[in-house]
Amino acid sequence: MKLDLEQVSRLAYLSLTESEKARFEKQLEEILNFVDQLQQVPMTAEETKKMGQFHVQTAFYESLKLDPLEKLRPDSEQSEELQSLVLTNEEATQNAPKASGLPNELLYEVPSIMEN
Amino acid sequence: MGRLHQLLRNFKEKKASYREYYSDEMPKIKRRNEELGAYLEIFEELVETQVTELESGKRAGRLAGLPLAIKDIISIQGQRLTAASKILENYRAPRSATVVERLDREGAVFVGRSNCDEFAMGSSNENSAYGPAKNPFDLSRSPGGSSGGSASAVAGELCVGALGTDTGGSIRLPAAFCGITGLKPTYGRVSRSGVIAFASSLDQVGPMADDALDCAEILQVISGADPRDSTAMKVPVEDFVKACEPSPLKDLKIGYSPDYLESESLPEAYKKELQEAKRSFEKLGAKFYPMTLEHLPYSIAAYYIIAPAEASSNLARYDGVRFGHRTKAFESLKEMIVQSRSEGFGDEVKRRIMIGSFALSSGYFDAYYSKAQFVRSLIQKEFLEAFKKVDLLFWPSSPRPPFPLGKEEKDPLSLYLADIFTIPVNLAGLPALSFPIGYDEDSLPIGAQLIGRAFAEAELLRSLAAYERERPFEKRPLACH
Repeated sequence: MKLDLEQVSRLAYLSLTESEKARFEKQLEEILNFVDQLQQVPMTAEETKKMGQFHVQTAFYESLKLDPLEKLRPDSEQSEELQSLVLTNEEATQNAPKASGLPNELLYEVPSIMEN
Repeated sequence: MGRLHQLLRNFKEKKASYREYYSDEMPKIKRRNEELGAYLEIFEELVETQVTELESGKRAGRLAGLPLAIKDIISIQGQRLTAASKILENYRAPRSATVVERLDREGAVFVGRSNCDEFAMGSSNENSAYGPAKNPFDLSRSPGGSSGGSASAVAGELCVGALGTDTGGSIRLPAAFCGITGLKPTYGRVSRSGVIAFASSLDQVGPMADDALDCAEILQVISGADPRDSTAMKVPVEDFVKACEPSPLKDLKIGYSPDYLESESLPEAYKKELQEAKRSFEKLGAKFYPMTLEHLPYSIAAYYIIAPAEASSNLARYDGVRFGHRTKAFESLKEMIVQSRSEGFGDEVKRRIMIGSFALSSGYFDAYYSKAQFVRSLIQKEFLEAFKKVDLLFWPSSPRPPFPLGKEEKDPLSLYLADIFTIPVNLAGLPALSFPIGYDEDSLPIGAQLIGRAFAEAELLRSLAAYERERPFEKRPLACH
């Protein structure tokens, strides 16, 4: 399996040095050649389509005959107790590399993406 | 009895005060940590505060005063949380993980954040950006990964119990390498809220300690539904500690794979100890049945598509905007993001993000990701069929002894292959524990696994506790001082 490392690193939002490129190209090819053994397992077109939306939890619950509606919390607005766990402005920005603005109204600071 | 319960008893019977215990232990912990690198940080101030709270009675509970190690991907409010990565070098957790809150409410003392592979990706702990933890039985060898620091801290007696996480064997492999017991709970048994995500359909938090009873005590506290994690299920939490009380195993049916127990590639000492352990279960009345799960050989291939795919998505958040490392040299937003990630992530994390990005990309999704999920569903079904015939499965934990440090890091695939016995369990979401069964000719610990049905942790612990009474594990002298 030949890998287009430029394309993959672009998708991954990574920039690689020349030595990384040489190293990773060989390693990733070895890994992909190894995982290619999956192709030995026959799978129909219908199964392929189904697996694209495969949800491991759903399969897990089905296999255990568990009713997710019964076993999981409802997918609805959370209680006030949980609302209070939402980070405050100060907490949310305390780890930011750069934040600016008024107290309690701090914003993450990033390079501009539009020219003046 | 494990050290966790011995210490609980000592505190209860007032054989030691909290202050005396920590005054004696902290210098030893710091000294040993210099050799082992088990903790990335020892929380001296936090320990002092918590001991003071214990003395005043403000801090109490079923784990009162017990020193625990917390893997450095689990949040403790106000403390640094790095996932052993440069990208989170200066991050401080704004909230505690649910598991930490539960331990805190029961009076545990958090000694430090334990070393691990970066973002829990690895089997040797050598992917930590801060250097690897070491195996207390041989300092030139790995404690396993990714929860290697937690295992090293328990085995090296720098704590009496620890939290690890297990995505593909990260609790069980280090437990096996360090001669301790580690339990990977059923997916959904323990909340993952406040735990840095690696592969969300596989990650699970679990206890690491000396034996079944010590693991049961920690599991008792951390288990249960959590409104902050929709995957933590509302299933009854049994009395795991009570499950460890003596009970016969005469009706227990255990499946084993002859291919695994008698594999030619398995070291001779491993085969011998596995047979000895099997005989001990038989003496207790358990009956063994050979069985083969046809698709298990594909587990590693499926895992190394699914886990990197999920990781590539989960780690997209590290972009230098809201938290984490931000590069100094950039001219555009995109360059800032790309450079921050490239400078902040280590090699293994980059490899997995790229594999994941590739597997999810247009043109390859069906051939890789869909196929891997399909194989995963086959493996799940095979486990379910197996558990119609037997109650537990018995396997090795590792196909080989602890890796010599510095020898394997250049060959990621050879390390991936070491996960052969642990990964299938994660793919199926099942509970499993690794426990020590002996030593090889180099006096390095050997581990075995018991695997159970979903939410059968009590059955696993009951069976292991019975085994421990029949065949106690004798701890040999450590290499650290």
